[in-house]
Parts: sequence; C-alpha cells; structure tokens
Amino acid sequence: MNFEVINSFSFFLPQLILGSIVCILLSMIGSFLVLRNSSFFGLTLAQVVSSGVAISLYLGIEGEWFAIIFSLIVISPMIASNTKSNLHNDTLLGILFVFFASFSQFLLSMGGNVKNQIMTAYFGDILTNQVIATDYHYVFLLVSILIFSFFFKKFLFLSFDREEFKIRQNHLLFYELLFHAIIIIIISVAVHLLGSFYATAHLLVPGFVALKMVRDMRSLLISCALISFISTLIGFTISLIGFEHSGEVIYFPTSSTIVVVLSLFGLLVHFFKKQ
Amino acid sequence: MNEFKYFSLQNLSIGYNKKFPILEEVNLSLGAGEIIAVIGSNGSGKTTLIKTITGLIRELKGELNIHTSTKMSLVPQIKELKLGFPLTVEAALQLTSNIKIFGASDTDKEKFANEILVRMGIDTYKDILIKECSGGQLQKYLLARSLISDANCIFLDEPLDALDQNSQKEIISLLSELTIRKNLSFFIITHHITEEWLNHFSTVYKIQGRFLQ
Repeated sequence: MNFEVINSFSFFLPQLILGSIVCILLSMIGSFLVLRNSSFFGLTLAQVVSSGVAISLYLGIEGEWFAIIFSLIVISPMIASNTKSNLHNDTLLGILFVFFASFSQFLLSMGGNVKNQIMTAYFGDILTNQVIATDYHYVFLLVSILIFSFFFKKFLFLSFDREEFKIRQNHLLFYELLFHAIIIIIISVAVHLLGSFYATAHLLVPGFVALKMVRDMRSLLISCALISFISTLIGFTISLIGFEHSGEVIYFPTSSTIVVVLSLFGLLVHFFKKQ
Repeated sequence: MNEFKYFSLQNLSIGYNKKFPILEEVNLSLGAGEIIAVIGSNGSGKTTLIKTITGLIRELKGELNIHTSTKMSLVPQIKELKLGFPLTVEAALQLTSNIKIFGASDTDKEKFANEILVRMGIDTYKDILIKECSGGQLQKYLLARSLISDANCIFLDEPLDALDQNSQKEIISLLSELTIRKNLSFFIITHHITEEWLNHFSTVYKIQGRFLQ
C-alpha cells in the first residue's frame, strides 16, 4: 500500500467539503423519496437530470439552468398526472429511465472532448472532475436548503398523506412541483460536480439505512447526514491510498469508492439490523 | 327555501371511465350538523363516491356543488396509511394540525382537541410509532386527526371496521354529539350498519347496483 497521496490530504479538503455538503443535502431530501416509496422515481429523476447535464455539456451551455429546466419539463406531466389520479407510474418511470440512459449513450458516441465531459457527468470524480464549484453552486444549494426548511412540515404532510393534503390544502400540485424542483436543483449540482452515480447513491442509501434505526424525523435527517458524511470521508480516504497491482500503484476513483462504501454499509445494515 | 348545504350532488355519475360509470344519477346533499351514511358491499363504489366529492377524482357527469365555507377532511381506511414514516402518534397528529396538542391549552380549539384526544384514549399511546399501533388504535388516530382539524365536513371510509363493539358505540355517540355541539357534519360509508346506530343518522342511503337509494 502506498500512502504518499494521503499525506497531502489537506490539498483535497475543498473537494471533500463540497462533496460532503452536497451528499448531506441529497441524503436528507432523498430520505423523503424513500419514505414516499419513490426510490425508483428518484433513480429515474437522477437519470433525467444526468441527461440534462449531458445535453448542456454537449451544447456548450454553462451552468445548471438547462439541466434544471429540462428535468422540470420532463417530470412535470408525471407529477401532474399523479396528482390527479394517484396512479402508480413505475412502468412509465422504467421507460423514461431506459430512454434517457440510451439517449445519453447517443451523446457519448459523439466522442472527443464531449465524450469526456459526458463521462464525467455519469462517473464524475470529486478529485479529477474538471468542473469547479462556483459561487452560484453554493447559492443554489443555500436556496434549496432554505426552501426545504421553510416548507418542511408541508412537504412531510404531503409525503405522509397526499390525499388528505390535497383535500385540506388544495395546492398539491404547487407543493409537489416545489418539492421536486428542490430535488432537481440539488441533483443537478451534484451530477455536474460529482457525477450521476454519486448523486443517486446519496439520494437513496442513507434514508434507507437510517429508517431502520430511528424513531423520529429529526433523528432520521441527522442520521442521513452522518451516514453520508462518514461514508464520504471513508471512501475519500480509501481512494487516496495506493494499492499495488501488477507492479503498478493504482488508486480507486474517489466518487465510486464512496458509492461502494455507502452501498456496502446500506446492505450490511439491511441484512443484520432487525427492526 | 334555500337551505344551507356543505355540498350537493345532482345527477352525478362517478367512476374512472365515462363508458362504465360505477354509480349513476347520484343525488344527495349534506347540511350542517347532519350525519349521512351510505351502505354498500365491497366494490360497490363507496370509496369512489367519497373521492369524487372530496375532489380526488373528477366526476364523470352531473353537478357537484361545494359551498365556499366547506372545509373537508377524510378519514381513510387504515390500509391507505404510510406506516413506514418514523412518526409517533403525537408527531403524526401534530403534523396535520395547526394547534398545540397534548400540552397546556391556551385556546378553545386546543381545549377541544385535547378533550377529544383524551376521550378517545389517544393520550395513552401517543408516544408509540404509528407502525406499532394496533388496527383499532390507528383507526382512532385517523378519526381524531380529522376531528381536531379545522374541517366542518368529515368523510369517513369504513371507520368502524377495526374497532370493537364498545369502541364503535363510543365513536358513533361522539360523532352524534359533535353534530350538535360543534355543528360538524359527517359522511360515512360502510358495508354494514346496526339497528341501534340508525337513530344517529340523518339519512341512510343504500347502493343497489349502480344507483343510490
């Protein structure tokens, strides 16, 4: 094992901080998707956002605006139809998932720099990602946190009992769109900076794990944040350790290492923790 | 005479497909302080009727008039509840309520809410998770949630099924009392009804085929 890179840990601190902020937000809002039994929706949503990011990279459009608006346009009809009829849309989600995965492959086939950028959107790496976090990324995240905190009770009520919320409040579509807009914004920033798999894993796994251990919403959110942060820290550290393989020192890709650590933790808790 | 009604249905057809309505020519209305019961077998369209009146499903045909002062709430069947949420009964009640519960009561609303919660025995299990509740406890929680809300027109979807006979009697008496005390109105759907409850209801309808009688 080679520990040369790990000695320069402080050099990578900004990436670690950014990765941690994004993953904590993803995990907290993602826990709502897990509670709503909408994990597949979250997976598809991450795929749609990734395609939006890929298209914006392909077209050379800077920032997340395109991906956010694109994703909102794609999912709004689904949210609206679900609001009216409350039908389950798993099959439609599956179709959207494969469509956007395939569509992104079309873009990948363009090759050259575009290919590299789109690969980054999917498998992006905290350490090697060339997209640098800017002030407006932090503004996006801050606005998302504020809206999420301000409407927390409404989002929870809506997620807990959608029908009663609609009967009593009569603004179901507005709050559903607002809720999903926040998710899309956070995923867009995450995909742009850290990759699609990183975003999806943090969206789903911490909520799934934490729900097996907590008895109230506050603990759920705190546990999600801790699980995400600790997994990120462990995965990040492992990725800085060099392993000898066929006479060469290799380093695991950071984002993927974090995802593997997080997912393994999720599976271990699932199989060994009895509720 | 133009008598006040929370809602009225005129020649309403309900269902999911215009070609195959579940119920047709439904005519009924609910005034303040009334309890209406609709009896029907499983699959007869009772829940669809409630969902149509509450706006969860669009009517196929006819008129559905809701008065502007009507505030609705639905007591769903227990199976509709998402039990995976890490919420205690108290937290779940607080989530859907705008008032303080289980504490010092500052307002009449809070006093009323706490009285209801104690009378229904919910204070004895307020700290357990909703997924740990028995069927009867969940049923009472769902009913209490609507009673302590601002709603003046409450829909109950088979509200007595999970309750024992004593609890059923208590609940029917409580609803009856609240129609007088608070002028609340209730729209109950059920697949059975006992003789002794009949005097609590203003009107009882029975679903026969695709029609309400």
